[in-house]
Amino acid sequence: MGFLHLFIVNKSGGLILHRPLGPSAPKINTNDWLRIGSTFHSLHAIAAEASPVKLPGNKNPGENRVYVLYFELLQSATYIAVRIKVCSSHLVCCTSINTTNVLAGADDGIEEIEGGGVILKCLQTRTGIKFVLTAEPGTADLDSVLREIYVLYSECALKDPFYELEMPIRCELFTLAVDGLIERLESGGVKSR
Amino acid sequence: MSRSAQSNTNLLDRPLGRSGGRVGGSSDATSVSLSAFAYVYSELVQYHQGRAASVSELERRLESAGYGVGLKVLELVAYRSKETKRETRLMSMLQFVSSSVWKSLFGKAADSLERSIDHADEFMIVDYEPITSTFVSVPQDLGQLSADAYVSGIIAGVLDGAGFSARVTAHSVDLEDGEYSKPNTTGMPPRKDKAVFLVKFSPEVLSRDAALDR
Repeated sequence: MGFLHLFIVNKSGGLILHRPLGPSAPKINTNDWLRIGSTFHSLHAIAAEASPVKLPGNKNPGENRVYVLYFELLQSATYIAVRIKVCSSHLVCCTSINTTNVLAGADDGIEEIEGGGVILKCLQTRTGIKFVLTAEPGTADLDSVLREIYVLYSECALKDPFYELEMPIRCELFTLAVDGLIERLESGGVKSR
Repeated sequence: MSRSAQSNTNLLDRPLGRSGGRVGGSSDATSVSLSAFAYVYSELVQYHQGRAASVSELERRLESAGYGVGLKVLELVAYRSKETKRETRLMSMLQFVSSSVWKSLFGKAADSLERSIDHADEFMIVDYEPITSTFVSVPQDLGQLSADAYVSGIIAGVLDGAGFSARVTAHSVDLEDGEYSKPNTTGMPPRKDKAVFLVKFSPEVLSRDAALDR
C-alpha cells in the first residue's frame, strides 16, 4: 500500500491539514503546500462548471467556454501532478474528471486524477471541505479510506472544543487517529466499514 | 405507549427516548448517543472559554457548571437506590459515589478508588475513559487544563449535598505501560492518560468521621 499524502482544504480554499502518510512521500515545503491547496480548490470549482453533461437547473455554460475551461483544467492538473510526484519526466497521461458525485452528496467537482505515477482522490463533503488523498497506483480502496478519514475528522476535530472551524487542524487526537488508520491499513489488509 | 395521531405536547416536554426503555439501554434510564453528548459538551466548554480570562477560571467555571448537576444527581440516585438510610460514614459515601453515582451517570462503576498515602484527607477516584475528554485535544498553550473539570464539579456537588464538603480537582495522569488496554473497536487512537479526581475533604468532615469511630 503506497499512501503518499493527505491534505484537507476548507470551504474557502485554504489548506487546513497536510500530512505525509508514508516513507515514499516526497518532501514538499509549506509554501508549495499552500499553493497546491488553493490550486486544487480552484480546479475543483472549475471542474464543476466544465461538465459536458447537461446539468439540472441549467448550470451549463456556453459551448466555447467549456473547451477553454477543459484546457485550463488540464494545465493546472499537470501542475499539481508534477508537484506531488516530483518527477519532471512524467506528465499527466490521463485525467479522469467525474462531474457527478453521488457518494458524499456534494454537487460536482473533481473526484479522481490519475496519471504520472500517482492517483489523487478527493472527497467533498456537503459543507465544502475537501479531503484529498494521493497514493501510488495499485493502492486498493482509496474511497473507503477517505470516508474513514472523514469519520475521524468529524469525531476528533469537530467534537474538540478547542478546534475552530476552517482553521488549521491542530488536534493531536486527529493526527494520531489518521496515523493509526494508515498503520493498520499498511500492516493488515483493507479495513472495511 | 399509545399516542394519538396528533400529539398535543410540545416536543421539548416529552420524555427523552421511549419510556419503555430501549433494547440494550441501561436499566432505569434511556440512553443518549455519545456524539450528541460530545457536541453539547464541546459547546459548553467553548461558551465558558469565551468568558474566562485564564485557564484556572475556565476550570472553575466548568466545576460550577457540574456542581448543580451533582446536587440533583445525589437526590435522584439516593432515591432510586435500595438503601433506606443515608450515608454518614466517609468510606461508604465514597463507595456510593464511585459505584452508584458513576453507574447512573456513565453506565459503569469508576475504575478505582484509592486513598492517598501522603495526606490522610485525600482520596482519588480513577476513570480510564472519561466521556468528557474522549474527543478533546488540549492545545499546548492551555497547559494543564483538564476537560473533566465538569465531572469533578459533579462529584463536589454530590459530596457537598450529602454533608461531606470537599474540594475536588481533575487531573490527567499519563498511563503507565500496560496499565490499561482494551481492544480497539472504534477507529480512535488508544488513550494516553487517565482521569484522576482528587477529593480533598475539609478538616471538620474528617474529625466528625473520626468521632463516629469511637
